[in-house]
Formats: sequence, structure tokens, C-alpha cells
Amino acid sequence: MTLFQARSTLAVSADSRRPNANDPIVAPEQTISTMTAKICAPPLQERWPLWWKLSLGAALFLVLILVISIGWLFYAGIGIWGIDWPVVWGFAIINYVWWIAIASGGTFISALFYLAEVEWRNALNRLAETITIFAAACAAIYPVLHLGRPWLFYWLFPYPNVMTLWPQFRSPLLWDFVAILTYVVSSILFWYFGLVPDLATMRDKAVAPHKRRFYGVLALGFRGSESAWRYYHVGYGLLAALMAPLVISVHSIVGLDFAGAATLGWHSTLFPPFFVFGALLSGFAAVMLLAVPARRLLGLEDFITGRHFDILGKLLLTSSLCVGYAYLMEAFTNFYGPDAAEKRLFANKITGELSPIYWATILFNVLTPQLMWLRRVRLNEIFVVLISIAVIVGMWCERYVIVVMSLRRTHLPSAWGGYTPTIWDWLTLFGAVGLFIAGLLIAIRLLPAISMFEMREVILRNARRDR
Amino acid sequence: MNAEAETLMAPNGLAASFLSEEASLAALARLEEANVGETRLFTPLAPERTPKPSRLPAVALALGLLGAGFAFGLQSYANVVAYPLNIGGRPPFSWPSFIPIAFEVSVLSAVLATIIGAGALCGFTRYYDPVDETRAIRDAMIDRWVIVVRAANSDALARSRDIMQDCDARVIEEAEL
Repeated sequence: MTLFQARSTLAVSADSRRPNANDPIVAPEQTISTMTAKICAPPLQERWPLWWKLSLGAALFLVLILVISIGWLFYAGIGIWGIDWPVVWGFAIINYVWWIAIASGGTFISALFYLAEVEWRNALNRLAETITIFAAACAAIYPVLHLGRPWLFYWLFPYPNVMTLWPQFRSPLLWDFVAILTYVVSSILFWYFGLVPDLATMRDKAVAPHKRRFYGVLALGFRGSESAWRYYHVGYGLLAALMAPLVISVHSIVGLDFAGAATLGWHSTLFPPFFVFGALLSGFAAVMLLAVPARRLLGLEDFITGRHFDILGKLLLTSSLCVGYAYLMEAFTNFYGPDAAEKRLFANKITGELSPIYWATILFNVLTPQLMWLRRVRLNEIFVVLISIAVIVGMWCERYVIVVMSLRRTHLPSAWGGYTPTIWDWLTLFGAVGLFIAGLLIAIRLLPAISMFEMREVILRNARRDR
Repeated sequence: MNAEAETLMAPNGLAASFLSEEASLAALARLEEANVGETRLFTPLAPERTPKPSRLPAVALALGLLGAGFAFGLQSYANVVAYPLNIGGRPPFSWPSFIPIAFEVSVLSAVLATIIGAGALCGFTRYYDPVDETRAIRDAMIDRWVIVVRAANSDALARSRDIMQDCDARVIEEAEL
């Protein structure tokens, strides 16, 4: 039984691999050779363990549900969803905002912390970027499905057409289309560019000819020559510098989707930074949540250590405080401002029939993360998983509050309405979760889960420091 | 490859692998000093030698600005000339609302310029290089620093071998480059 297979179980609770306060960023016994061997081992393994097959099977089942849901939607139209007047934006927009916020964690960790030259991001950036591209892909599905006639999505592009029509460039919804397109394309390119040296390592590590060919084609002939590295380094730094403001702009524009409408609870300049804070919180929670199984199941405890959990926990706490501040400011501006309808809506949010969802949002996004003040909690994988799940659920509740509560209580009481999601709403949500998990599982099956060339920098720097 | 073909091929180069960046850089300095011929260094991570300035950021900036100008111009043309539409009394040339798309397009243009530019400069898609024939190069992206020398003549080849041995090269092999 190989080391990888031996670790392929979660039943390793009471062991020395638990995150510890004194953990270094990478275990000192690791050299660049042992690290490369360890990280290359899982993708080059011929047979994968049962947990992977079962998880992929379950995820693909959810993908099948998603395909059926979308097929039925194409056939029957968006009437199969619970949306109606006045709640014309339902799960599609809630899920879209939720997914795109989850996607942000990868870009923040990969780009922003690269520019800040922090060492710990080198163990997490691959995982985080992979989360980004699959979460962004899940997010991108929803606006297209919500179009009504999704097969005409290309009408959003400004292309010469016989009707001489143009998209409405003054609408934040079109800004959003361009922002998401830019974000998805740039994230995929950034991810792939960052993978190229590791694909070259995989090519040279692989023994089977078909694997050498597979990784060889993907590695694009990268050999690590000094001149190639020089330009690679410049290109990578540039991409990081471009991605960092891009992720802020994307979430600001998602906020403007709402703020641009004269709808109660939405029409506020608070929304762009509020959405950036929310994205930070969901992004860090998603990375933390997936870092736990990744280190345990792939045997990466030497690289994703207690130090990483300690830092991620603090980041989660900080972003939770920012989100809490935004919630507080939302309440304050409602009562500070003159609009009676806004005050009434807010009172409905906190005391009305849907108030449990509002309070769940506060509980999961603001109160639960306060446990992260305790180092013991930050270093406990079970707590980390539970708090991260709470935040991810809480962020979904937050979007439900924003979308549904505002739309069902408009300025005119005669136009008030309700919203009940249908089974197709739920199936489309869970189906996309399956798509995300299936994407991640396939990615870790084929690609190294940690950026090896960047990890070499950390290992050599630490070795020099020790000397 | 049969024995006859092997003897017909006259190796004109050497490939040597080193265990550390320091050893490889020391060897490289001595090889350059001895003027043995063209030398190339292959490393498993970006070398720490002082990076030379590159024009790539300037190219990315220029294309980013071009993208922004194009997007802003297209929106202005569509709203002012091709399809003026009065929405809420806002003027057709509502330039502040054209900025988000112009910004996004500028980032997309700069990202594409960086990927294409860096890819071309890094030699992406150059799938074959004569150094691929050496065994040493297969360790360059794993855990070895590899120097490849294309010697000017047989004397330079011999000197290169001596220098690499002096500098603690782990594997030295002759190559046809």
C-alpha cells in the first residue's frame, strides 16, 4: 500500500498531523525532491481510492440532476421556477451572487497575497485558484439560464446585427456581463499560466508514455530555461497585478447590479464595498473548508499546516467583522435616512415572517466566525469545517434576504407579493454544487494540488535561512 | 540508435546537473569566464539572479489602454450615434456609465497581451529542443540545476567537462546540440 493510499482515509483523527500553533509554513524535513515526489504522486497514481470514486459518482449524479433541470428549463421556460411578479429575481440571482463570491477567495489569495509577497499563499494558491474557476463557471450558468431564451445569450454582445440594435451599455447588468466574462477568462488564463511549470514537472516525472504525452502537450514545451523563467516571472507578476483590482471591480459591479435599481433595500452606495466584503468572507471560508479534506486525503499535512489555518482563520474573522460592519451600517443608514418605506422594509426584515433567514445570516456570518478569536478553534479542523460551512450557508441566506425580501415589499403595498422556490430551483442549486465538486475532484485527479515551483522557493528560502 | 550511428555523431556539447543553485551559478560563471561556447541554465524554480528589465509591462499597459479606448469609443458610438435611447432623461453621452465596461475590457486586453507576450517570450509551444535528447534535462523541472554547453571546439568541450567536475556536477553527459 502506498503512502497516498494509506492516507486516503479521514480516520486519522488523533494523530500528530493535526494543525499546531508552532507549525512552520512547510515541514522542515521537506526538501524540493521529497516535496515534488509527494505532490506528483496522487495525479500520477494509476488507481485512485474508493473515496474519490464515490465522491465523483455522487457529484456526477448531481451534475445529471443539473442537466435534467436545465433541459426542462429550456423546454418549459422559467415558469418552472418560483419567480413571478414582483419577485422576478429568485434563486438564479441568489445562486449567481453566492457562487461568484465563493470564487473570489482564489483570486484574493493568489493575486493579492502574491503582490504582498507572503510565503504561506504558495501552498494554497493552486487549490484556491481551482476553486475560483469552477465556482465562477457555476456562477456564469445562472444569468444565462435566467435570460428566458438562453440560446440567444449572444445578444448581450455588441455585434453587428440586422436589427441595428445595441446592448444597453448604461445598465449595470451589462457591466456585469462584461465583468464576469473578463473574470472567468482571466481566471482560467491565470490558473493555466500558473500551472505550466508544474505541468512540465509532471511531464518529466511521468513514466507512462500516454501521461508524458498528456502533460507534455499541456506544458507547452516549458523546460525551465533561465530566459523562460525571466519572462515567466514578469508575466506572472503582471497577471497578479491585473487580477487583484479585477476581483474588486467584479464584486463592486455585482453590488451595482442591485444598487443601480430604484428598489427598496438595494439603492445604496454601500453595496459595492458590501459585496466585496461578502466575497472576501465566502472566498476565505471556501478555501478553508476545502483545505481540510485536501490536506488529509492527499497527504499534504507537511505543506498545509497549522500556520495556514491560523492565518486563514484570522482572515475569515477580519472579513466577518467587515461584513458585520456593513450590516450595521445598513441598519444605521435606514434609520438615519428619511425614507419611511426603507425603515418599514428593514423592520420587516428583522421581525417579519422571513426574519429567521435574516437572523440566520447574522448568526452564521457575524457571530459564528467570532469563535475564530480563539487560536484553539482556528487550529481545530472540525471547528474550521463547521464554521466555514456556517459562513457559506450564511452567505447564501444573505443573498436570499437581499433578493427576495426587497422585491416582495416594494414601495407600493398593493404590489406586494411572495416567493416560494420550486423543486426545480432547489435542484438547479444542488446540481451546480455537484458540478463544482466534480470539477474539483477531476482537477485533483489530473493536476498537482500545490504549486510546486512556488513551494520550492519557500523550501529553499527556509533552508538558506536555517543555514 | 546503433553503435555505428553513435560513433558517427560527434558530441559538441555537455549537459551537467547540479544539486544547488549556488553550485550551478559558480560553474556557469567559470564557464563564461573560460569562454567555452554558448551556455544555458535550466532550473526548477525562477532563478534569483537580478532580473533584467522587460518591455512586457509596457506592452500590457499599452494594449490595456487601447482596449479601454476601444470599449469607451464603442459605447459612445452606440449610445450617441447608432442607437440613442432616452432612458430616465439621461444624456446619450453618459460617460461615467461607460467607465466600468471600459475598465473591464482594459483588464481583459492587458491579460491577453500578457499571456500572449509572456508565452511567446517564454517559448511556449516550442515542443522540441535538442537539449531534450539529454537525460539531465528531465531533472531540471524536478530538483536539479542543469547547465547545457554548446562547446566551440573539442578543446572547449574538454575544458567545460573539467570545470563542471570541479564544481561538483552530479551527472555530466555529452550531447549533440
